[in-house]
This record gives sequence, C-alpha cells and structure tokens, in this order.
Amino acid sequence: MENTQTHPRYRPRSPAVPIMQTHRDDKSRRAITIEGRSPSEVFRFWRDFQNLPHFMKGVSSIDNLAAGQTHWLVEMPSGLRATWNAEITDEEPGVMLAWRSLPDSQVRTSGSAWFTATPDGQGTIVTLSMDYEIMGGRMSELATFLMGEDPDTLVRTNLHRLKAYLETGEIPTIEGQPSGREELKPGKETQQ
Amino acid sequence: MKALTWEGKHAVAVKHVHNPRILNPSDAIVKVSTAAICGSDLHLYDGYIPTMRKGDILGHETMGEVVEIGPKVKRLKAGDRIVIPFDIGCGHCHHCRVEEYAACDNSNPNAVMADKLNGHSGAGMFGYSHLYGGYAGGQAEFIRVPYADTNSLVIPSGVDDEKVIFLSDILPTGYMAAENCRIKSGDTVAVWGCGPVGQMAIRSAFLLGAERVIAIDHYEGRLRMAAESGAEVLNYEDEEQLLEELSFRTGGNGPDSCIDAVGLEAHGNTFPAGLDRVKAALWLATDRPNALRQALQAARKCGTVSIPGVYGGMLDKVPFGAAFGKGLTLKMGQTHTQRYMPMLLERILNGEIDPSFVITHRINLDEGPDHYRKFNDDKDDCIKVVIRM
Repeated sequence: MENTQTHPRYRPRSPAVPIMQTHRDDKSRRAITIEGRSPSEVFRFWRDFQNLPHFMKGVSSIDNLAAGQTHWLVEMPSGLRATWNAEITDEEPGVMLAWRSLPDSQVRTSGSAWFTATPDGQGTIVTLSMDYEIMGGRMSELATFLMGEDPDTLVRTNLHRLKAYLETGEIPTIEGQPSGREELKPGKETQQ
Repeated sequence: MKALTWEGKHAVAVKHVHNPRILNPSDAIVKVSTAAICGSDLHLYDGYIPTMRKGDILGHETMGEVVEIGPKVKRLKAGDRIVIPFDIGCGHCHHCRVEEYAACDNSNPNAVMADKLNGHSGAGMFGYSHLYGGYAGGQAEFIRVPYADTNSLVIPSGVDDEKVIFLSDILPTGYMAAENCRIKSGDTVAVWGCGPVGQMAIRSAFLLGAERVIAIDHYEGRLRMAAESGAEVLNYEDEEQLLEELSFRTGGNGPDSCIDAVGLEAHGNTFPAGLDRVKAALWLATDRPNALRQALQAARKCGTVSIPGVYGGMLDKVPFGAAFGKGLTLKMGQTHTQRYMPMLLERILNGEIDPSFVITHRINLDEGPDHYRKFNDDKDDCIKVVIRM
C-alpha cells in the first residue's frame, strides 16, 4: 500500500497478538485493560506464580516445585482444603502463558493469559481464560467458592482483582466491616 | 458503635454494631461528627434499589475527624477534619486520573455484578447497595474510608459542619447538573424537583450565569424555598398545563436546558404516570420516569436535558423521538464529587454560597428511623435532615 508511507496511522502495527484467535475452544474468555504497566511487566508478575494468590479468588498459596511445576492450595472458611499440582503447557515471554493441572488431580484446572500493549502504548490488555472442573459430592461447595456462579464469573472476577492489585496495590473489600447482621449488646461496641 | 441500618422496605433501625477497622492499607477510620439523609436514601427506604441486605449500614453524606490511618495513607493524618464524598474513587485508574471518579474502575468489590447488569460497573459507594460495593455507610458513629487520600477533603478549623457537610453529595451534584447544562448568559433553566439536589441546582445555575430558573414541584414548602433562591416557581397540577405554561413563559422556545432532579420515583397525575406505578409495583418496569418525560418534551430545540436524579433500571415510554427530533443533548450520571469539592469549598469560604439553607431538621442518631419516615411522608415540611452525633 503506497499510502503507508505518507499516513502514519495506516502503518501496519507491530505483529498483533491474535486476541480474537486465542482460546476459541475455552468456556470463557475475557479481557481487561491495566493502565501504566507494560506487557512484559504484567507477564513477569504473572510468571512468578507466587503472585497469583494476591488476586486469584479462593487460591491461598502457590508454591514452586521442581521442573517448572507448581503446587496450588485452596483453603475454604469451612476448613475444606484442596490441593493440586500444575504445569506450564505453553509460554512466550512477555506475550502469553498457559497452564493446567497434572492428570489425575482432584481438581482439574486449566488457564491461559495473553498480554498485549494497549493501542496508546500506555498499558496492557490481559486476556484470560480459566476453568475448574471439580469432582465429588462436597466439592460443589468448593466449585462455588472458587468460581462463583460459573467459569465466566471466575474469569471476570479474577481480571478485576488483577487490575485493582496492579493499579492500586490493593484489592477492594468489605470483608470485616460492621453491619447490623451482627448486632451487639449496648456497651460491647469494641473493634472486631 | 451505633448505626442506622436498612432492615427492609420502610424499615430503618438504630443498632449497636462493631466499630469499623482498617481493612486495606489506604483506608482511614473517621469519627463522624455530622451525617445527612439524602433524597436518594429514600429510594432505598422505598425498596426501589435491588441488592440491599438486611442490616446494611446506611448513609453517604458524612463528615468527621480522622482517628486512624492505614500505612499507605500519605496526605491525611489523625485529627484532620474531613468531608467524605459519597462515591469512592481509587485515585489510580484511568477514570480517576481524568477526574471521572464516579466511573472508578477499581473501587467496587462487586464490579462483576454491575458489569452484568449495566455493561460496566461504576465506582463503589457508601451505604448504597451491594451492586455498588456494599460499603458500610456513614449514618453511624464511625466509618471506614477506603483510598482515604482520594476520598476526603480537609476542612479548615472554624467552619461549621452545616456549611460544608453537603460537599459530600448534594452541592456537587446540583452543581454538576447545572454545569452539564452548558449555561450561556441569558439562558433559562427549568428544574424538575425542588428537593435538596434541585435546590442546589437552582443556586448553581444562577452561579453559572443563568438569567432565569423555573422551579417545578408540587410541594408548596419546597417551592417557597426555591423562590427564596430567586427561581420562578411552577406548581404542576396538570401536565398539559405544565408544558404549555413552560412554553408560554419562554416565548414558545422552551427552556434552554432542563434538569431532572427527581429520578426514578416521580409522582404525576397523567395516565403514563399511573401506569408506571402499577408496572413498578408488579416489577414489569423498575423506574417511573415522569419528570424525565416532561423535561424531554419541554426542552428547547438543540437544548440540554441534565439528569442528576437517580435511575436504576428499565424505563418505559420515554419520548426518545422528541429527544432525537429536537436534537437534544442528554447529560447524566453519578457526580464526580471529588472533582468539585475543593472549588465549592472555596466558594463556601468566599461566601458565594451557603448550602446550609436547605436544612429543616436537626436530629441525633436515635431519631433517625422516625426522620426517614418523616422525610418520606412529609415532603412539604421536611426538606433536609442532618444528624449531629
């Protein structure tokens, strides 16, 4: 195209990450924009799996094991615990990362995250896909704890929490605030 | 501490609850000195706003003294006297950085719920349903303020609470409503609803250069207050007459801009208004947009309709053809309170505006439940209730 020389806005962009072509087969795929962080910064944050419990709903800890594997722990308020090991299945530094639980895990999970520069170059678009498949009776409680209503809610929630954490350094919460659902006797109005 | 809690439709209680504590590093805890009941609290009281939970602490117009700060609070210190905006900005996201605080990306912990309902979530708010984050409100002895550096305005000593408490909501809300009208000198502005926000909008419209303000309501007490601000008043008893009267009084043009300071619980004597009541009762529609219908019909061609009144859901029989046919500009939304607070404090300190003129009732916390009822049932006499702790 001869116009590309004279009209910079028509210049082909640097190789676009094919957001629309990723995760076609997954149940849920959502994107969010994080301001003020480059794709390589967000990738590095994510690649250190010990950061994920900061924002991944329900996940208490992720420890690094040998050979690129990770050990995931979920602890519910009811005391129910679940653990599994996961491995990285695909990785392109600064661009994408995919993981899944090892075969025969109690909780089957898989996910992938892509990191793309925003059009203005000031931030990063994170595209996330995640799912849990949980077997067994009491485990439906675990599924609700981890995912909320469905995998789509899980993905949306985790993206909002990631954005809040990277933009503000904290995740908004009302857990632990007072309400009239725990009414006290007069005179016992100390802090919780 | 003691707090006013939402216990269901038409039920507010005074309850003893735990004191709030710091939950995040940028939080502050404030000992409340003055709070107020807002007209929009009546939408909660009347059961129009979904996702309230029994026991939620009410209130989003609050000021007081900082008693504790989290480790990441930089600007505030214990002992500062602050007014707290009703909407919560994180101070870091794109929208906060361009002063669109009510559109904050990060402050609503239940953003996914609001995303699903509205496409995108707005900011979290104090005491205004779990759709807006479920934050405990400020009609209480103490309140936790998240992102406290962003969500506070320090008040110099020696200024009475009653002069500055309304910086938390109704003064910026009335001011933004008037600013959204893009007033040019010589303009006529019509204001539907002479509750507290309407009263602030009337004064703000004059501050911004309006030549005339026509105030519309059907409570004589509220119209009297509007007249004292310099507005011409119009008591609608019959809608046909209202629209004709507005046209007549503006030389056939219609008002240059119209402000709907009523919102989703409009009263009205027309057939569509009656139908709205039935449909809302049956949950076939959620909102009763009668003031909005009139404003769209009345506005001058290429004029502006500014909507500070709260809407929550689906509107029926809105004359969008009139809006399109006349090329109207519609401006609306929750107020970016933090954007306006410092400028309006200056205007208060300069004596340009004293918003305390709207106060009709001063109570303590124990009198809260009675005054929710009074504010709801006796709109002629009861215009603004402030709670002194």
